[in-house]
Amino acid sequence: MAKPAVIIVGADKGGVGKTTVARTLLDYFSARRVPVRAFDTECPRGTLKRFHGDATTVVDLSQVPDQMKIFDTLSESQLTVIDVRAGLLSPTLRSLRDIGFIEAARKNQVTLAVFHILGPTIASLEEIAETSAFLTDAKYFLVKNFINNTHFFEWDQTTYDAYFRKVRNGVDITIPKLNEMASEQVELASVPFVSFIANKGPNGESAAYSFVLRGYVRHWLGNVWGEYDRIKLGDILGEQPEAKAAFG
Amino acid sequence: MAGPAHVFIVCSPRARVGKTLVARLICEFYRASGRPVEAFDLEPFEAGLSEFLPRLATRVSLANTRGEMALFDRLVADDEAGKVVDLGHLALEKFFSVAADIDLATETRRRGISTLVMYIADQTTTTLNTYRILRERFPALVFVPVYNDAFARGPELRRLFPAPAGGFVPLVVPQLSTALRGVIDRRPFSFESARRKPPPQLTPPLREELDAFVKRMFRELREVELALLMDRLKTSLAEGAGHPD
Repeated sequence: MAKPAVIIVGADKGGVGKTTVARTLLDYFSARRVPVRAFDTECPRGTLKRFHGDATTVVDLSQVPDQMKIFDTLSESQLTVIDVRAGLLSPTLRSLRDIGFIEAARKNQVTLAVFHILGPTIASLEEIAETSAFLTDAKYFLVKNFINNTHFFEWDQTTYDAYFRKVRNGVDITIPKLNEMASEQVELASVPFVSFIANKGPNGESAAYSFVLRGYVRHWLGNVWGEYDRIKLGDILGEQPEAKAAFG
Repeated sequence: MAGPAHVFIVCSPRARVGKTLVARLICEFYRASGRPVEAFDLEPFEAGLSEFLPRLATRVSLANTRGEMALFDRLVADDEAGKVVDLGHLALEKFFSVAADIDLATETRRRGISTLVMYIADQTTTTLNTYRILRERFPALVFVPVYNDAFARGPELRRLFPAPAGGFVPLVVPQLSTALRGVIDRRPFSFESARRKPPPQLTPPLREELDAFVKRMFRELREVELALLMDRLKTSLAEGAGHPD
């Protein structure tokens, strides 16, 4: 990467699949051999850490020492992904503005991308206006995460469009629904999606996951990565051109 | 000695074209040669194969993920048992849709399992279109047309469903007499058991007809297996020589 890059994954509403999206991002960049570190703000437990233990540090983003742990150690040789817990997206962006990080993004000294995970409710839409106010100079991705069978904003597409139009440089991403049983089994296995697909356990040992469920996860992750390719995520973050995501 | 594992998917988009008869013959072909075989009955509403061969065939439904696992996880299992799927016409679309999603063709090939689609041919537009779509969508699978003389026959059928590449010959199922059909359509019924210990309904002429039918079908299935063996051999030689395929 030409400059330090940070991806923030968050939402003010809970239960919209933030950590799931963060996991797909870590898998995506790992597969492209992009060095990546992650911060999990589900302090003290850390859901992301359960799946990506080696790459993840659990932090309390409301504490200055932990903010320093992240933002004072940014490097252009390593991408930083922050999984922000429910309710902390706006406060986090406020803190980033206060410490001058958003200004640094505006001056092109760092790359900041925000994955704002939307649930299928009006409450999610209302977050957009507040969040986007901080992000005039960041890459802002509105991620529609189909974690259940709800049809997004089907009840009022006009309302959604009205919110979306307010966002300058906002880009839509759609995360399809993963088969429920496959999702449960990956949860139980506590491994990255790519390890599940490769039939590997938490320590790299051979596992005995269902071929059907692995197939569903592979198909789903392929679609998710297809979305990341579509928005040229690697280019946005200044990734080296030789990197290319592929399943092992 | 057990041979290499094969998966046979017997299918057609139409009902009552002889899918279950072909699936039964494949199961019994395995059993007659002392090889393990496992069969799956995917008739959503009316049991077929599982009623003819209750000890060999399991009825499965693709209505939920558990059913999909009960079928597909077995098809790619690391054992030497042949697998036979009697795919009811109403389950065809779901079966191939799941097979595409989970990439069955790649996984079976990776595990050295040959997958054959035994496709019952007829001249209707639905059957022709489905055949074309499936072959386009699953180029790694071997499609073997099945001419069931009791259902469809003639040079036009052979022109529309020619022999596939790779030395495979279409399977031809001769038409049986009504009397013999009456006997073999009783459930349960095993061709091999009936040949060994004929039931009272199997008169000497019918016994002779059954014997000739089973011998012919087993010979044709041996030819299919031989073609598979040759195909596998060619593939390994090509891989050994660093062939790009």
